[in-house]
Amino acid sequence: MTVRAGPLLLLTVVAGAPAPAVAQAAPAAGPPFRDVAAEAGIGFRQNSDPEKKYILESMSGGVALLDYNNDGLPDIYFVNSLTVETADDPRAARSALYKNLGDLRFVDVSEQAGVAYPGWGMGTCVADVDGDGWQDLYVTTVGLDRLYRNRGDGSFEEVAGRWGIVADGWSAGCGFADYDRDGDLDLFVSRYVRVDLDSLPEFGKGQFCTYRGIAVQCGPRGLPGTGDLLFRNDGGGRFTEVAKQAGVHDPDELFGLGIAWLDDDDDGWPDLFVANDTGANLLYRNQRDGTFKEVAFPLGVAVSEDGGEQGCMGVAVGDYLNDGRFSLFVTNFSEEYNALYRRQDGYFTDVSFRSATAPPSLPYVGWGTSFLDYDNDGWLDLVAVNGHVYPQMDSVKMGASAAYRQRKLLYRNRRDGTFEEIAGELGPAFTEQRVSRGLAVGDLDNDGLLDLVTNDLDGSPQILHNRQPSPGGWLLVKLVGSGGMTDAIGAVVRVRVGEQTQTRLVRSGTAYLSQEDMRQHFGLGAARRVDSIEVRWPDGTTTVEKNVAANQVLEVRQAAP
Amino acid sequence: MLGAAPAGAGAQTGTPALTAALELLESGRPAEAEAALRRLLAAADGAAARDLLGLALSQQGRLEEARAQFARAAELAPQAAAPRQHLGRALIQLQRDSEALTTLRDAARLGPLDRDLARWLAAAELAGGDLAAAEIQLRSLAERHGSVTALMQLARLAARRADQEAALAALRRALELAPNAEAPLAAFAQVALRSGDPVAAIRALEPLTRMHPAVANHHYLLGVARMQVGEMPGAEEALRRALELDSPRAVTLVALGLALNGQKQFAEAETVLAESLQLDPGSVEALAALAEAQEGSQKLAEAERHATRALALDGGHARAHLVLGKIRMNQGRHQEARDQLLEAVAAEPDSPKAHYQLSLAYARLGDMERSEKHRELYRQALDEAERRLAEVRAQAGLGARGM
Repeated sequence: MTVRAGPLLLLTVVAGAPAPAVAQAAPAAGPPFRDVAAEAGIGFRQNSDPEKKYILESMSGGVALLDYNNDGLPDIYFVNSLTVETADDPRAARSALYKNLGDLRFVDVSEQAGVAYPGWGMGTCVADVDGDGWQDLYVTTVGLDRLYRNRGDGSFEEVAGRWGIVADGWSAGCGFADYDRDGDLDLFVSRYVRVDLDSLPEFGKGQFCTYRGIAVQCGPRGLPGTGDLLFRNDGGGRFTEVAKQAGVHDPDELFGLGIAWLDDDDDGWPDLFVANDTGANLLYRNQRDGTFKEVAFPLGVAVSEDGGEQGCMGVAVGDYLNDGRFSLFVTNFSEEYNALYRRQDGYFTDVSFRSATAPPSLPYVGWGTSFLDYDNDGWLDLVAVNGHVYPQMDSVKMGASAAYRQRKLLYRNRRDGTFEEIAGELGPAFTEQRVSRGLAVGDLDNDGLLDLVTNDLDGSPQILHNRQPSPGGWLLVKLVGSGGMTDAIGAVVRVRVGEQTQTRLVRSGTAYLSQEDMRQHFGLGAARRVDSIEVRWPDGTTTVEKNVAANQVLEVRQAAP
Repeated sequence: MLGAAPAGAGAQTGTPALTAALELLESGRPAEAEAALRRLLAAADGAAARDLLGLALSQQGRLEEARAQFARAAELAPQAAAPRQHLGRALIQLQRDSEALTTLRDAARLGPLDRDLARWLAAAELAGGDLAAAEIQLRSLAERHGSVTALMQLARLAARRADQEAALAALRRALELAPNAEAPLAAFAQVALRSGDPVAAIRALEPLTRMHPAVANHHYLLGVARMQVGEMPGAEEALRRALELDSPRAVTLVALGLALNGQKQFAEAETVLAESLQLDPGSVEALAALAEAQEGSQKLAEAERHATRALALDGGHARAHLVLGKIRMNQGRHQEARDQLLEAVAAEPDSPKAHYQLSLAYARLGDMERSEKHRELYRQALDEAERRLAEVRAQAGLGARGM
């Protein structure tokens, strides 16, 4: 591992962890964000049919940030998909793992890692599933999902079937959490549409295959949905599918996409949110007995404020008010609006218009999304990446809806419960018209500024390097849990500076079918130190660090039981 | 036509002398015809000869004399329609409308009237308020003469008695006769809209707006029709076009405001609806829609003011109650929200929005049983609305909304 020395370097390592490379952000000329994908060595491209005659060809794919080699630098995994035409040739779609070499340089290690050909890939999520200290990789697919177990030597082995994880059909979102708090990670997989490749609905034929009078791909309306899956980790490399007995199987067979494990009621037990396309969203409250109760409607997070079932894709979870409560942001179809559900008084309130996040989103079809403090001012901002599903949009003027390729949205937190959309101020990388899907946010170069990685259809992915000219201080907290929970998935981190407390949640499965950096980023504004860091670990125990210096990657280890 | 109608039935029809007189008349020699007929009548009186004499006199502009001959012919042949029609026409020319009306009513009882007389009688009956009698003449005009005008009048009469089906049938027939005629297309669209058939209206209005792109009202109607099938961007486009073409009308502005509200473009909607209210300050629809726009823009005080004004004018206005309910929900005043939302669902029982918000209000009040009940009602209303919308959108070839 390379640790650069110099006047700008700050390095803090707690409890003997390996030292990540840390660089202080330096003022940069030019726009605050710049797409460095090409110069970083990212040659990945989605295998994509330009016409998108089938819905199968419009929904992929996710992107993950993981540290597969434990060198302290986030690596990138792009999920690739097949098309109807290439459905019989799994090698037509090559997913790609890029090893982070530092200094924003990457090298493709997909083949040697053994993760290049998961089939018809959709999404991904990350977790150290077997608790051996090495992050594993789960890939949702059209077909049988893959669980790539990290061998710790730069390679992975596919173990899904062997471990009892048989997720077939069209899987979409995924995420690990210890829902039964037995000390190991369980897996939830959302599923989208039931498809039969031999009898796909014909393009432009039928009620659900036209849009504003033009022929388009069919679905999801009019197509059969499919239920979701929950795999309980029984230990010893054995999983059992228990969705029905746990009450999360989605008997209505809605079109499941983005998912989020979160502790909605702050009782220390993971709850689960599922974003459904053109259907009501689901929020499963953990009953602490291995079962869940669906409460999205009474809590106000199932549909839009006027009762509309929206085309929900991605979901972000964040405490944007710094009040200790996690709100939800859901990206939606064009002419709907991205929905911000604020958590307050035991309920969610749709504050999309009150927060000013809704109006700018109306023309766009939103996918990947994340709460992030892009300018390190201590307040979570919001990002959403967009792109239509119908390339045919370009041939007709469609009211307020934008064309096929669409720009991104970045909402700056005004610190009063409202946001201002400022993507236009962040450089052409944000306003370039693209067909984005997956989004992963993380600090690729450990400079304390959050970067963005997208997985796009009909174009190269983007690596948006954050180069804020005068950012605030920061802290990047890497948690190392005890026992089998080394990622500390489900842990809540609270950083207090003066009167302000910021709260973050460690999650597996984020945004739209993606995985963001599991290290928790905190912008600190002008503060040079934080008063305290409190970690509530998944098992309910806590660790508190006091008077911690800013501008460092801080590793916090859970004490052994 | 008034002086040139054929003689028709008469007691002496078919005799060589009458035939000769008729030929003289048809060849534009009324004076010679008159002389021949007077000779004939001197020999023997007869209805047909007198009827023809009336026509000869009429052709010479001697209307009063003609009238007397027609009247005598009618006396001599009480079951013959022609003399009465001729008498009616002469009376019309003499501007003795009341006598003409009586005479033509009698004539109509004996057989179908000539086109001009049927049109006159229909107009007279309409003016006198005898719609049934008018309708008989209009139907005759439509069936015997393929009159598009009569069909449109029939449609208007049917619409007036709320028989939208009959109105649409008449207009469909008119459009068969004149497929691209502006008036029947526009009338058809209006009736279709009124009868809850926006798809039919769109099918009439889309060609109409292409053929007559400068007529604001056609674009207005198209906007309203598109709104009814949930095609808000298309509605907005048409309504904006209507406003470009004509000085702003309050109804067009309200419709545009509603289309913008439907697309959650509340800031723009607010501007449009405020302008509408300047033109028509007492419009309940505009007030309620403005309140909705302002609630969406989080101008809650203004929204409340306008919703309250709307309710002062119409205490059962669903949209205004819904807006107030949502404001109270945002304020955390859940009991008051519940009360407003109960009014909203009472005013519009099939509103998914109102049931959904009421379900939330009950949940926040801890009444989970009622919350669940209104969630169920919300679901039913939503399913029904979606089903209906999907049906009309499919008919309109618009496909499903969203993905």
